[in-house]
Amino acid sequence: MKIKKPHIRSFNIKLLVTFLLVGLLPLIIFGVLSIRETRDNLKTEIFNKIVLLAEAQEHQLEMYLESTKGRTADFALDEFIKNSLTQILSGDDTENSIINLNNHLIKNKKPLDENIKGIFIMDLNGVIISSTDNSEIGKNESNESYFINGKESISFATELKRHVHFGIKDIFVVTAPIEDDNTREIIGVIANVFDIDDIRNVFSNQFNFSRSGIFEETFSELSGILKIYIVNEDNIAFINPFISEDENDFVINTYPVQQCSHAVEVIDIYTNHKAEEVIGASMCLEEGWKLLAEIKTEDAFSPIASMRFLLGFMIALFAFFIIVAAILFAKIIARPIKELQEDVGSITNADDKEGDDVSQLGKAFDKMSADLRQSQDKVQEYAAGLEQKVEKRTEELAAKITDLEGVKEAMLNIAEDVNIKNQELAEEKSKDEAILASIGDALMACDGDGKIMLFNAVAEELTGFTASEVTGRHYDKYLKFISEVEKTPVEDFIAKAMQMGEKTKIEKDALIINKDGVEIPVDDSAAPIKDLDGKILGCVVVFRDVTREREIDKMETDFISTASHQLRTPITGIRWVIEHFLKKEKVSKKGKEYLEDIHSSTEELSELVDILLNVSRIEGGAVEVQVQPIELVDLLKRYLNEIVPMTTKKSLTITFDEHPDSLEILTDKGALRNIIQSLISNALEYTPEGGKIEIVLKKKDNKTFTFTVKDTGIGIPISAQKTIFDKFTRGDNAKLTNTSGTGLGLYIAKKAVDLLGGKIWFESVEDKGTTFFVELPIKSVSTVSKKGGKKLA
Amino acid sequence: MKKGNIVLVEDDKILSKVVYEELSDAGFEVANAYNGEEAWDIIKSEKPDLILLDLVLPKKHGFDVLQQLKQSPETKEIPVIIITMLGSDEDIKKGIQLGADDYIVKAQHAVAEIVEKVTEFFDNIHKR
Repeated sequence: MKIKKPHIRSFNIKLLVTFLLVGLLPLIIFGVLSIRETRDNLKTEIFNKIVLLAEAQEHQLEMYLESTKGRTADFALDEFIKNSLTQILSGDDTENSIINLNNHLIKNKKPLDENIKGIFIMDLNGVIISSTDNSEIGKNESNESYFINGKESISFATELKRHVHFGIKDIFVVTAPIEDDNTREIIGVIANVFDIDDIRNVFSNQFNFSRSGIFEETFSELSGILKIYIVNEDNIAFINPFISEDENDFVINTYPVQQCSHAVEVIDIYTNHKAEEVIGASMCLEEGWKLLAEIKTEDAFSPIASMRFLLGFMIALFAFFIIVAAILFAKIIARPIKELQEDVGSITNADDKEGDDVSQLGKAFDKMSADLRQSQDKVQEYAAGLEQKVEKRTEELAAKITDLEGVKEAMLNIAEDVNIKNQELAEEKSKDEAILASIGDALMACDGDGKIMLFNAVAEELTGFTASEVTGRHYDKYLKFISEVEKTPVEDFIAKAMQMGEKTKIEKDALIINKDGVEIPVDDSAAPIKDLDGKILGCVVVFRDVTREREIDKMETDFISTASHQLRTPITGIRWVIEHFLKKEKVSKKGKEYLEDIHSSTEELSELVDILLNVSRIEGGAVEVQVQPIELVDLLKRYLNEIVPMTTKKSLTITFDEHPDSLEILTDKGALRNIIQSLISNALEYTPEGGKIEIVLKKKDNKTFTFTVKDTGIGIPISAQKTIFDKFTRGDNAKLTNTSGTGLGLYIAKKAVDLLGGKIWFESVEDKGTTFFVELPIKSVSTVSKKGGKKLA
Repeated sequence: MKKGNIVLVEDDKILSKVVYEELSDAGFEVANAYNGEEAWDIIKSEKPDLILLDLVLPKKHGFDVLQQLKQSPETKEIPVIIITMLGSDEDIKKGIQLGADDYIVKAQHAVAEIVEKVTEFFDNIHKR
């Protein structure tokens, strides 16, 4: 079946219209709304600015008018003027009085204000009887408003091109009544005549001036489009600072001008005298004057015009894209519909092929559903019988359910309570878990049965197992710790922590075997988790990768051992060569002496190397203790034997009388040797010839023994006693006795005693002697690792 | 008459020379080896009565030489005395474990003491 073209086109048009509506309508609505909003904002802003400006102008104008009024009022009170006027009116010596008065006005009054173009005085009939200009005298002003009002009070008026006074066309006249001092009656009116052009100048200048000040910012955008008119009592705009001269003096009878007659000031949009729509504000002044500030709306809203243009452009652009998109979409969508239509058409054989493709589809579907409905009806009939049976059954069940409902509700209430409690607990738990998970070391927590409860990210990374993999399983499947040297499993320190209820540490040099079988050096500690009653609930294990630390440790140990070897080799070489030389070669007595000196210096050097290496070991930290059984009495005796040559040389007496028969101890040989050597060699060094050294060994109890070295030496000065165990510290007297001491012997001895877990102290009197006491455990504890670390030599 | 054949494995030329001369003076036949690999070759050809073996050696460590000696049927019966600077207890322990007969820490002894020890050693063998 072929589809006619018009069908597709009509569908496409529908689609296009929909797209346009959906795409453009919001844009248009939004655009219109935003333009309106901008316009309102702009309007308010301009209103504010105009009012501000108008008020400023009004203020200036009022100040000016006040000053002219004040000046005129002053003149009206002038005694000479009053007296002269009285005299003129009385008719006595009128001629002279007038001449005198004219002169007075010319000489004394007019110069007071350069803006005054002329002054004249009228009698009560409005006839000018005195003036600064003789030609003015005799003019009748009785119909002029300034005369009529001036008789009552101070007033002013504008005269535009009607009356020429003092040769000026546009005048501004301020009048004031002159009173007789005695009778308080008004006897005349004085008039000061100003040139309106002067006021125009004043305002133009003043406005320009104000624009350069703080107003500039506010009004810069309005300059050029703002117009100000000052309209007089006859509705003539006579002061217009921003418009050209020839435009002056036209009648303005617009809406705000009319409103001023009701003393209503206006801020609004209205039609001005040129029939243009303007935004304007008016100020109503005295004597029927009005001040107008206006901006053509077209100018004020020019930003909106450009917005409108932009909006129009955008709408056009959008419309174009939407039309293109709609056409493309229509093609894409129409194709499958066309195919479907063909298929459905062939099923239904519908003969009605009018309408567009979608409506055709609809008709095809209608037919299909009608067929289906027929079949459904048959099924329903059959089902009706069945339904009745089911209904009966359902009723029975419903009764039972009602019974159960009651029970269920009760249970639900309980469940809710439990739920709330659980929620509170869960919150607490998740907080704790978050803290534990963010620890920088690997962390595992297990319950009392060793089943893993917590396994943080670092632990996952280190072991290669994920938390979900290990949670709920026993830790020994995943945390496999072995000894680095023996490669056998280490003692289960986690089980031990839980069993003993105290913190345990994994043995030194342990490795963990991760998921991939890689061995990683670790340092672990385990702490039991206890409840408030002290019952053990589980265990927390913190472990971390110490690959780097082990490497550094090894490098340090290697370095010391290499340095030790390299330094000792040449020293031994010197020693042996001298020994060999002395034995083999014939040397003079003197030569032999020298060689022996070299030999003993070399021995000292060798000792010094030992001392320095020991210090460097101690400084490096982590010196280890490896205990072995030693019989101390015998060891001491042998050592004392070795030093016999030295004691004889200095005629010293060494006694070792007080001691047990034998004393088996468990200690580190290197550390012990350091203590004994340091104390005894110190005694030898600092005891003068003929002195006495007494060595005592005592078993204090089953656990400790004391070793005492007492000499009759130079003693330790009080000033050095506090620091004698510090590095490089020597008593001042010791420095005098022996300049080659290092000040390291006692430092090493103290460190060695600390290592073995003992105490060292002394009693000393300068020049009498010193006794060193050492208290050490009979059994010291090994801290040494199996692969061999740093130890004292 | 020579008291016995000794191979001295010592890399430091001066120490080697002194010990060589001392032992020669005492009547021993001494062959010098200066590194671990050379030691193995010389010992195999010389088949000495005693080996004095330093530990820190170029090319091959003394412990490795010792292990090799004790594994080879030709050499495993030859007694070995370790002479070294390393005086740590572990080293001594390890040396003895690997089959050394004695241990001398150089820095702690005069050269004459080494000769004494060697002489003593041969005396003991003869007594047996």
